[in-house]
Amino acid sequence: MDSGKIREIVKDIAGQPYPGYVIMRAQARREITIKLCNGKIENVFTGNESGMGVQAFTANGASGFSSANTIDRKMAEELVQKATALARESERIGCELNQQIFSFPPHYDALPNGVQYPFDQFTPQELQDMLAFIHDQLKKIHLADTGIAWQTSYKQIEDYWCIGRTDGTLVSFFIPRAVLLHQGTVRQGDAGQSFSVHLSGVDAGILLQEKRDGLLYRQAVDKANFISKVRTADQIPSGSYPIIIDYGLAKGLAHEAFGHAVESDLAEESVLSQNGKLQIGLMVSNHGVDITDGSLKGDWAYQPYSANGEKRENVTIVEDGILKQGLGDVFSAEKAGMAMTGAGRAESYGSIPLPRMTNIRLVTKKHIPLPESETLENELRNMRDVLIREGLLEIGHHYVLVGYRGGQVNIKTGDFVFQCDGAVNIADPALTVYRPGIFSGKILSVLGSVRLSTGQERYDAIGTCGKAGQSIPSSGGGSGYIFIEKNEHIRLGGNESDR
Amino acid sequence: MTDNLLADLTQVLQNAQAGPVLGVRLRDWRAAVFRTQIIMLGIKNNIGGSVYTPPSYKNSESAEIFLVWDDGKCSRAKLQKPSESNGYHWKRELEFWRMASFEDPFAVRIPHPAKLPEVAVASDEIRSIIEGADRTAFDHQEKILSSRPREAQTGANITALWGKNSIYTSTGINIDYEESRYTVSWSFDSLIARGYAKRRLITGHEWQDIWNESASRYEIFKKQAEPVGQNTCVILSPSVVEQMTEQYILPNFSGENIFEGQSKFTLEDFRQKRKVFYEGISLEIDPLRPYHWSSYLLTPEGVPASRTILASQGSLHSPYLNTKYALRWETSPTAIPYGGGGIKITQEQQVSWAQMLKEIDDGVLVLSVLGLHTQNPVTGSFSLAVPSGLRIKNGCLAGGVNVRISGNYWEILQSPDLVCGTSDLDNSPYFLTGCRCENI
Repeated sequence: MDSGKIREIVKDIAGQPYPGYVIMRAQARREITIKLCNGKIENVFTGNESGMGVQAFTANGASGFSSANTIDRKMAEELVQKATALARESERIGCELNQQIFSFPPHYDALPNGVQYPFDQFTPQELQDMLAFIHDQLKKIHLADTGIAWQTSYKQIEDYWCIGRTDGTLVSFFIPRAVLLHQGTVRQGDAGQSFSVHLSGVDAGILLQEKRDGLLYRQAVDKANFISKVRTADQIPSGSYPIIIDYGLAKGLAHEAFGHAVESDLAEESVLSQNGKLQIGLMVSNHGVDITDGSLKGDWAYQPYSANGEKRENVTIVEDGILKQGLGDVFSAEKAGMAMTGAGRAESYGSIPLPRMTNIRLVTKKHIPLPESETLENELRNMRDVLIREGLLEIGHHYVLVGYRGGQVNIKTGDFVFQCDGAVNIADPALTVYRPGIFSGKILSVLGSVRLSTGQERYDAIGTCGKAGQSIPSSGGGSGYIFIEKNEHIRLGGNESDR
Repeated sequence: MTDNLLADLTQVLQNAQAGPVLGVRLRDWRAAVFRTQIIMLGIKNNIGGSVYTPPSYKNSESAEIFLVWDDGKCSRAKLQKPSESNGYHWKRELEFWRMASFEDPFAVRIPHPAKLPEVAVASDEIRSIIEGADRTAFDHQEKILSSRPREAQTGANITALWGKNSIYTSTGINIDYEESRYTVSWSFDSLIARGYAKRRLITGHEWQDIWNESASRYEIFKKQAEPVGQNTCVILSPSVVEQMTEQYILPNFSGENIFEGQSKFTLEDFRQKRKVFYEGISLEIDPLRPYHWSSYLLTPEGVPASRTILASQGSLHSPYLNTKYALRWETSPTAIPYGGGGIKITQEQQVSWAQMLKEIDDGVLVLSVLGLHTQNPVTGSFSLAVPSGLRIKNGCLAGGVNVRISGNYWEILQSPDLVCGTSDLDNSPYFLTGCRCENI
């Protein structure tokens, strides 16, 4: 079904007069995934999925939800009836009442797709051929003492969303996404380590770009060499150290340590809240540190409107070290003492929107330039020289953590963790490589130790964020490598041999 | 064309066997159609039916197809009932599937009909909930709200699922079957969490035992216990053991990962039945347990459920293999584990959890960990924050403690000091390990 027809159905059904209030979401998604393993095609998967979700409110603000993977008028009407019946049942047994959305003004917008290469520009065979060429380049990568198993995958998605509300709101937008990913596994005997490098964009243009300039290939070479050293390296003894994190880890830090803790639905239990209100004005770091969240066009986590139909705002969470704003949605922002910023996102039409991040950035005002380098090793060598010149290099241990592998937070206790691919001690002239240990700390301690950054700013680290059983794309980065002073509440790893 | 996805799809695929699509006939096909209805209820911050957890009803019908063309190429796709089911729509779909076909000589085997096992995977009580004739789910929500510890921020989720599935193939498999699932889980202050997940409703006794355990652990957790010391042993709770099974066992016993060099183990390790765990440790996929969450009748590929031993008495036995990797392995497809709970870990000398607890003088019980999904599944090394740990002193739970643990999953299973403790309330055992803990 084309987007125009979907918009008509949403407009007709959501715009009808109801005793309460209705939010209707329709989504149509197309996807193609191609995977190659060690020179052979492993899978080509195509999928179409579309459906509608309706959240209905009684006049008093009790809500119910229903969804189906069909888009047609009859089903839409049935979903409204079903959601309304559930809302009434919920009100009868004493649920929470929330009428916040009743008073928000309507929005009307239709954003075009705007990609250079439409979803069907290339046939699946053409995509396979391009990917096979890119994958075959990896055969040229040789390590001194071991082989590498390679997987290459390409995923191209086109999501169309249309959101309608009883107040006449009707917004629709496309979210196109494409990602090219090389995953390598370096192993020798029982020891093995996986790593990945990726390139993201909005369409098959990323395949053309990679065929043309081989940027991802060069990253794969660099990472493979680094991981090859990590594989046989010692593990960092557990402890607290001065550390420097790359832009991917900066995204992880901002996302895990701060982003989740300022989401309005979590204010009741967040360590950054008091009595259910976000502690706006709280000094959370030294001056000169900013954290910002906002949707960027063409980004992996692009989201121009919330899943409730509100415009997604750019939010300065921390400015100059002071907690300024949270990520608020229509339902809980006021209760959490923060502004509504259109933060609601949903995994699919069948999910209830929750306040979520999009692209989160950690930026320091103090920034030291770093000469550009072709390889990680040269970059770290340049960094060591710059730090010596600036009098910033610590003696003995000064670890650079490389490659974000994911993280997790408990916003109640303020504990967060994340993991990296490996570490390098740049206090050591030999730039000794170490196996990683988990990076863990307390939300309220970590930002106070952020000092400055060096190197090129990058905000295209991508991932998947899981919350309440819903997985959505997330992204972000930092104003370069971020320096974190030694702090007893921030620790690196530990292993069995430390005992 | 009809309004029935299965009927339309099988008709379309049969037609494609008779006449070519973009010049090539369909040789074989497999279609799995899933019709699912779900009711969900939730509690957030002590309130039932909040705007983020309203009572929800979800209805879906979707299909997964696998096609083998006359030239040996294959296609794989997911689809749903089209808004306008007509010949033009299906012609376009077939052509697109053909255009997306790829060469994979090992994937082209479609199973033939075989005897299905007797395994209970559907409960009529759950169907009644879905049909609105049974209010048990609402009663359970009310029960959590009325019994929760007064001072705790309580969250909960209740889900009832009813599915009618069909697996049809060109080789003659024509199976229609029903399945159900019921889950209820709750957490206090996002720290002490507990849950139930089976293919039938929870019984009164099960509810009482699980609830009492979590409520008493919450009360104990509020007391601050003494820090851990050099000799404190680490006990992993069943939920952590299950997460570790998912993180370490599933990827390393996957036939695909073994063939592609992405597993800790090699083909040769399995052929030689290499000893990789301490004697007495066995791993098994058992999808035949009645109403067990991970039990099933047949896989979406049409392979009947059966038990598969992954490791026996410490030695590797078999990876788990779908039809493609079974062909590469030159054997039959095995059982497939759906999640960490699908793998049964047993130890010859295992004891009951109650007995294990009694004998621990100085320990910490790890109820949850942060960051396990970021750990390297091949090396098995881990270092993890523990937001909810309970100190054990002289055989009793003694209070909450904030620690970090580190160790190596493979070394735990290789250690002669590992003790498994079983409990009727859990699928996975408790692990008494020698891994390291330190205070935060």
